[in-house]
Amino acid sequence: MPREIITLQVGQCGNQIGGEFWKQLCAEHGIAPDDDRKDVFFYQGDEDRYIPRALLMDLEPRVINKVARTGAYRRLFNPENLFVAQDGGGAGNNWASGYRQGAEHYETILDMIDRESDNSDSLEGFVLTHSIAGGTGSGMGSYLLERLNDHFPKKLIQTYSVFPSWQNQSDVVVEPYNSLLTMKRLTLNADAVVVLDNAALNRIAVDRLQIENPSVEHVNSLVATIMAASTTTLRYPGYMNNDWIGLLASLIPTPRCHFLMTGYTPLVLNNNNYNNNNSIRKTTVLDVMRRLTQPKNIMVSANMKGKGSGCYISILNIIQGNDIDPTQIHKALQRIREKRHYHADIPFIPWGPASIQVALARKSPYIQHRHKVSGFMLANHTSMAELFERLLKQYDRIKSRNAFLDNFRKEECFADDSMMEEFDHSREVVQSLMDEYRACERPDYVNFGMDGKDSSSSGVNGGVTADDFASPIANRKR
Amino acid sequence: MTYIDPGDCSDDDDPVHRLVRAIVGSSNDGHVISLAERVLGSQIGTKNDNSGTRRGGGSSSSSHNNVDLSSTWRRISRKVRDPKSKEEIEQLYRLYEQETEAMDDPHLPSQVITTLTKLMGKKIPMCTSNSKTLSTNAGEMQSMRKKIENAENEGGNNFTTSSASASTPAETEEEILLRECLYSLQGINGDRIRYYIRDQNDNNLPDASNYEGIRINSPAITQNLLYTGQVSETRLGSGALDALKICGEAGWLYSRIQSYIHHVQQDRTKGVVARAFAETLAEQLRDYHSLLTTYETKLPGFTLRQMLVELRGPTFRLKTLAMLVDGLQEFRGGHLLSALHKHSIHGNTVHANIVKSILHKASRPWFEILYAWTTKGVLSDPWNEFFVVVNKNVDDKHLWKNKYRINQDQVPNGILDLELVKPAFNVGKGINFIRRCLLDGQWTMQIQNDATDIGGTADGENEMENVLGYKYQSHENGNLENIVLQKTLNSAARLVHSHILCTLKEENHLMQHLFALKQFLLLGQGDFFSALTEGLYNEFKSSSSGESSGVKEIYKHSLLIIVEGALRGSNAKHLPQYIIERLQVELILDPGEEMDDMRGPAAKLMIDNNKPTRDHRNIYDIFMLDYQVPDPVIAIVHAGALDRYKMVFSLLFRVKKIEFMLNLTWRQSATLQHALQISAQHTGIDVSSSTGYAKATFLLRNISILRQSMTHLIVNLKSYLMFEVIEGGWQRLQSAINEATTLDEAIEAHDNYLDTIIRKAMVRVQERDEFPQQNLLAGQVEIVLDIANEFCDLQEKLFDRSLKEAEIVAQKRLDAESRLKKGEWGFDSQKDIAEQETFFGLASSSVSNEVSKISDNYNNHAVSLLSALSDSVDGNAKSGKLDMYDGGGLHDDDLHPQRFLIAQLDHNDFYANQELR
Repeated sequence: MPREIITLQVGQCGNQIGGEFWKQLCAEHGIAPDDDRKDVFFYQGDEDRYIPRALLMDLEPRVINKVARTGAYRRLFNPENLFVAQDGGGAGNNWASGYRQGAEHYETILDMIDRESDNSDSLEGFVLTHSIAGGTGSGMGSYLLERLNDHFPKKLIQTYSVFPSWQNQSDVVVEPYNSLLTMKRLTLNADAVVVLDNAALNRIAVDRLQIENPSVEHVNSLVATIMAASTTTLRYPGYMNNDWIGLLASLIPTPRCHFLMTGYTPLVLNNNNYNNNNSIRKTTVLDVMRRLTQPKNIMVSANMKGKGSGCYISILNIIQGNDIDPTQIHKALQRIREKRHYHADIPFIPWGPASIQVALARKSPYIQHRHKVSGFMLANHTSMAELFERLLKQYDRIKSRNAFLDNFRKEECFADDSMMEEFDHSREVVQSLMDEYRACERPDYVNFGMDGKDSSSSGVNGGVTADDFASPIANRKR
Repeated sequence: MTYIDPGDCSDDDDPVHRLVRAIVGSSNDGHVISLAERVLGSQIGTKNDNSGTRRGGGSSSSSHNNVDLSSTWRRISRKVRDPKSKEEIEQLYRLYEQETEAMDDPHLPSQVITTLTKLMGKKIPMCTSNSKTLSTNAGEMQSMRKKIENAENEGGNNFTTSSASASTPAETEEEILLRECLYSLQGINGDRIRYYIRDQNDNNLPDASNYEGIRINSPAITQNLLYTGQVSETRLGSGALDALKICGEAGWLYSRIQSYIHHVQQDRTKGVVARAFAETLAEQLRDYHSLLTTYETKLPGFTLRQMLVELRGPTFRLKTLAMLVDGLQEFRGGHLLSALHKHSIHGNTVHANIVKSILHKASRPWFEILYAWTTKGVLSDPWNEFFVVVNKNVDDKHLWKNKYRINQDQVPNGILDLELVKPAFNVGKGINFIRRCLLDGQWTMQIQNDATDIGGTADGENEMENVLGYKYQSHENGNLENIVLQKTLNSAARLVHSHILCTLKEENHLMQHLFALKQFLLLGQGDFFSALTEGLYNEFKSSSSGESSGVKEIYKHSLLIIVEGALRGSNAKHLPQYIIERLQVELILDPGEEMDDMRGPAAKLMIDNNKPTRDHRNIYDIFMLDYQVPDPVIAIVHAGALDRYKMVFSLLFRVKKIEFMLNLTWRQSATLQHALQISAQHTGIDVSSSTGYAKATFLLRNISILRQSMTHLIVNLKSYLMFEVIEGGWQRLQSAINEATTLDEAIEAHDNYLDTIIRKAMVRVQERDEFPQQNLLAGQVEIVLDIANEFCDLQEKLFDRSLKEAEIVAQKRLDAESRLKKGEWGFDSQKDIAEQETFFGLASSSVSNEVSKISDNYNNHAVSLLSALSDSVDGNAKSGKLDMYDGGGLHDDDLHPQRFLIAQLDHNDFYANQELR
């Protein structure tokens, strides 16, 4: 009864990071590109081959061809699990187009998903890899999220979602529209979202890996490292955190606040040409744990230090290494706690008990590791709201001018009022999410969304008004 | 061997003897004189030492002795032919006499006389024609004595009537007396000297009063002598009376010793050590007989006084022996040896030396037992004299723990050093363990090489002595430590233990089994237990949602299927088959309940349905894994240890179950949340204005926050248990077992491992009132777990119902959509919307109240748990109580095993702040 996980790679970005992810898993499990291995992510094919439980979907053939038809790993994937739209025209960075095409091809895709799910003994859930700013990954991904919720109401849905860097001017001007609409589905239909902030990934590539102009491949390789690391406890089960639900349950106390940030140290790209000058760092458990919560190692661009920078709802540190003395971990935690200033650096929610959780995981025996110990952090932090705030700002800027809406109007489902309605609702959802994250910083979070303070009584007189969430940040308590 | 002064080691060492021999030979006159001078000088100089051993002789004899001495000297000087030498000797004598008078010591001369007389072989003419020859044969003497005793008994008296006819007029009175004395020296009544028994008031028995004669009372013995000779007391003289007294004493002592010997020889159950002791005594008595024989051969011319003098030493020896007999007659085996040893450390060196030589011989058979035990593991001890006791009823499975024990009473103190008792015990036990538990009958100890290294040569007869350092060395060098024995035993112990540990590790998979025990009974195989808890949940959930049917419908075969499924579905499947096959399912049942044989198709838990109270237990409460520990490993994982594994299992499994339920309900609430959103979306309810939606969301958030608190506690508790307690303990156990040199050390290491886990894991300790703190903590943990359990049950009920409703709603929506596609009216709107509203109505006020009640209760008890933990840490720190049950070897962080847990449980001071409020 391995708790199988089916990976759905949607769109150009989704398939690129997915491809890198499978490369990483193959390396870690000793699966050669065209030769032939692990139950959670792979199943055994006919000729003693291990085949990823993965569906590759795109509306244009370019990336899928590269990943699954011409690349070094072309024999890895089940050809039946590749979906490329017949016309191959793509979604043109248009969420509405991707969403519509998602609906059009849904029957075919659902067949593939059903087949793959029948292939599992006890399916735990789905992982979706996509970007939220483009067309296919965002639009078609959104449609899939909605339908999966309907079709598999009891299965987990986790996404690895690449968020655009809103600071820089993107060539895709409709990014804020696409992102907002996708964010609504990520909020309502996903159980967990691992936020891969392009801005932060680029910063880390430049700062931590000393690559001047990081390419997409560099960033994707970073993403693959994170994705692989986040699944190590599932792939190499120890005595704890060996099931996905348990992992997420402690990270996501309240269902809506399910946007997770990641951190990884020490960072080394698989392709080692870039960082030869990177001296091998001291990697004791304590060092790794300290570095994991330093903002420079966190792959989300949000202000996490200083006043008003929010607080942690939860932290899980996955410490990878062989022959780690488990008691070392507790000693490290104790040491970290003893440093009083540090305690102030990692503020936690005030409405419930919280602390750093640590999981131990083995390192793959198939890869040469430059560091004895490496660490991966999954955290739920209220400063995630900054990202949403930024998104809303960007969205409001263009929406107030109703700019770049032509391509959306072309789509049937976005004709007329329904488009405005959808946009407004999406904005409401994202605003509400942002507000909830901010509310998490207050001791009275439990009353979020309730009018009266006397909330435990039956006298709840519904109605959430914006005023409830508008309390100035300055007033926020730790 | 002739009896002379026991203080001298041999004739050759006697300086007087040497002197006299030299004089008699007078081959080298100058040398003789100087030798005589030196010897006499030393004799005078050391006289005080000698007198110490000879007290009780009485100073009354000094005048006689002096007379004899002078005549002896004269005789000596006559013998010396050379006039110059003669003059020198006379001079020497005068000097000697002066000295003696000045020192006023009566004893030294007597010794000189004795020796001189004896060695010069001066024959006193005696009549041997009608004398009774004393038999040196102990057996004959025995029978003779018996005859007389029988005669006494037949007469009903304690002495026979005097019959003076045996003596002939030809003999002088002294000769008759001497002959009589030789009888009484063997405890035999003679014609004129006989024993009679005093009563308690020291009155003579009536019969005895009928006899004419001289009563000689000795305070030292319980029998008195009666002299019935024709010579009056005054004529006999005090010297003769003294001689008679001494003869009486010696004879009485002799009979006591003899009767003990006889008794032991008749009674086999006295054991081999007592028999060896008796044999040694008999040997001593044989020497005594031969001494008496020499007296007899000297008879004509041998005077009472001479005998009196000569008997001092033998009497002392008899006294010593009789004292041993008196003190030790009830003792046997090792106990007898201990008692003998006690006597051997007597301050009187003469006494001590006698006892030591006896001890040396008496301990022989005991050492033979020891030898057999420590080299072959054979316990040839039919009379239970050895300190190892075997319980034949104990199965070989429990050989190490229960089959053998040390009987402290039979440990021969002083023979076997106390610190060698355990090694000696373990060596034999170890050999048996190797033979019977490790099934290695071919194994023999290769110890000879070691033995030669430590000085012994392993040749034939002495092999045992050398191999086992069997020699009792204290006799030779006065050193009580038996170094050879110690070295040999230690090296034997090393050999046996390293073989046992090696075989256990290499052939019996000791570490693998310990690992398996950790993986299964201490829940180390996390993915297996995830699969198992889920399997159990799926199998028994149907009953839990509705009326809880408790544990009535549990079939063992279905449990086995679940366990097998979990094995297959986890990495446990990679464990070797010899481990997997030992895993079994057990149910903790109340007395009176029983599980039918699991193989039968109808195997089913039988529970008395007439039980008045409803069964609140569920499968998680009664489920237990069992591990069939293979026979040799049982020595380490004994029944008690397995029980403790199971105690820890109960707690861990409970935590695991709650963790599973918290995760499951987390999943359910997420599903529900999705369903709420979707249905709100589809029915067009404005989530920002719907009261029902807000109420439902608020309830779900309350539940989520409470669940988060519990998850936080469970996750941290589990992490503490797994990392700190079990994994930390396991690492220490591994190194302790690797460092262990004996099986006992390995057992102790494993016991400590479990003790530490139980203490740190706050497992309730049964029947241990000395750890109230431990059970207080355990109690707090249990309460918190109970509340978490209650909360999970509540959630499960609520979510089960709501999710069923949500499914119906979702189905209807899908139906509506398909209807819509077919061009029909999609919504049966009014009805559906009404249903949606009831679905949102999951937040009934009763549920909300229940949740907030549990929430308050939980928070209070979480705070109590934290403060109990702090008290425990502080308490331990203050009293240093940990030393008590950690058996030393404290690890730094062992000092406060729960400090870390406290820090983690309230890292953000949530509870601390709550307490302040």
